[in-house]
Amino acid sequence: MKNIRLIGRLDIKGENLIKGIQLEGLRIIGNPNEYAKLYYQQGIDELIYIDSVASLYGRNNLVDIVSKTTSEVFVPVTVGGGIRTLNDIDILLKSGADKVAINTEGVKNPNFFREAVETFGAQSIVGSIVAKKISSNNWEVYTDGGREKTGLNVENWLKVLEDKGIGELLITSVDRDGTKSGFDYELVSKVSKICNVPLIISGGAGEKNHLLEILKNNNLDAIAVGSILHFKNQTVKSLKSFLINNDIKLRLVQ
Amino acid sequence: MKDLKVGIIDYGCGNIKSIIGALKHLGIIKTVLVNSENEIEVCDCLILPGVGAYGHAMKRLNANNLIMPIKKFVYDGGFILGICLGMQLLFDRSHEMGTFDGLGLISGTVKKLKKSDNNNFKLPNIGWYSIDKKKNDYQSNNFLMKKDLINFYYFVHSYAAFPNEPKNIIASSSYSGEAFAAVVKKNNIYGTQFHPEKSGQAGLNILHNFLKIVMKKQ
Repeated sequence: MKNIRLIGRLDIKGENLIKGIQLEGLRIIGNPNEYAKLYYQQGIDELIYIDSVASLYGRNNLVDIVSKTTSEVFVPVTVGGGIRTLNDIDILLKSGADKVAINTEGVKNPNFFREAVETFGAQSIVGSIVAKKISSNNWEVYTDGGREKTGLNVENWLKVLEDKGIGELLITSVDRDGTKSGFDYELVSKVSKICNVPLIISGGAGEKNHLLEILKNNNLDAIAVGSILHFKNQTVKSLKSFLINNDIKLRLVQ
Repeated sequence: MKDLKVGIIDYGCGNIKSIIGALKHLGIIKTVLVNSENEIEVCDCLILPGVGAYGHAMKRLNANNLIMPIKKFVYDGGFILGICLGMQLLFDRSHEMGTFDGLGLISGTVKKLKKSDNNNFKLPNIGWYSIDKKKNDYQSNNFLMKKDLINFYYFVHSYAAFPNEPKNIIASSSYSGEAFAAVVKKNNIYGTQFHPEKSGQAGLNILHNFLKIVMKKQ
């Protein structure tokens, strides 16, 4: 049986862990390293850091945070936000990150995905899609932390990323991000049916039942959560126990 | 244990920083980054990390003139731990994007994992899985303790090793219904398909076990 991964998503602005609603109106939560360590101790399977304003300013500020986190947190760490060059990737991987998530630069230059895969291996390259619903059954790819539209259709773009050789796909619903109102059920259902690489879904988890419901009905590989943990609605442990008690396969931490 | 000189083979194909961090956490102060033959000589044991493609990794080892020195270190009784691709490199050869010779320290071949038809099991296999200890672990030297078997470990791979001699498999795991070698051992040669440096406390325990084995033989 396949085990699902529960991933803690930490959006960063400057030195702070922040959380917005629909990727906007960013509210400061606290010190990212402290939250990372807490989630690690509680049994998180993986962490994703996203520098939420990096694309806007054209740089990723996470090197120091990642370096500190990975000296005391021994689970995989993915870093995204403002990654533009192979050198950016190299620096982050050398800081202790295991994978990088690429969105904006990949939209500008799709071959960047392939170059990154060929240089660092597919296991290090996560394709990141930020999706916004624009009409019934139709989602558009957004870049720059959910600020810019691209005109690209999410399903078509997903196939392009797979073709470029990415090792994993992270899909974030702009509409649901930070709302705690549940995942974009239609988007997840649609994407999970056509995705051939491991799929991480993100955006909207506010209650434990949101996770259970989406996992029961879709073929997913991983779920990334933010608000539900940051605002202490649940701990990693309580979430995992609930899901395991409801027959979802997850890593148990002794 | 703090005086143990642990050599990490640094050939541009591994997450070196995470391994150094994990060793530091376990109290190892003297980590040696091994780029050439000279550094190997001073090491009490070697860790061979590895991510990426098999052929590329062997090419990098060769370019650094490290293949023979690693073999010599092992033939002289030195302990080595291969991690993920590093474990696969211990075997004779791999069929990843062609056929490439490995270090040939353990007899066996590296092959691609199976996907399932219903797309439930995709590649790469990324996730946390438990391992099954084999009954014929007669000389595992406490690399895997009983308590290590209730834990989960982080795997990320599309290929896996299939040793010719079943006795070299200390523990197995499975993906899409197919068993593969998760932990291997032959004399002083150890390997894990999962990443102990990324598997939480459970993984740190395994690294600690390895270091204790090295200590005992000092």
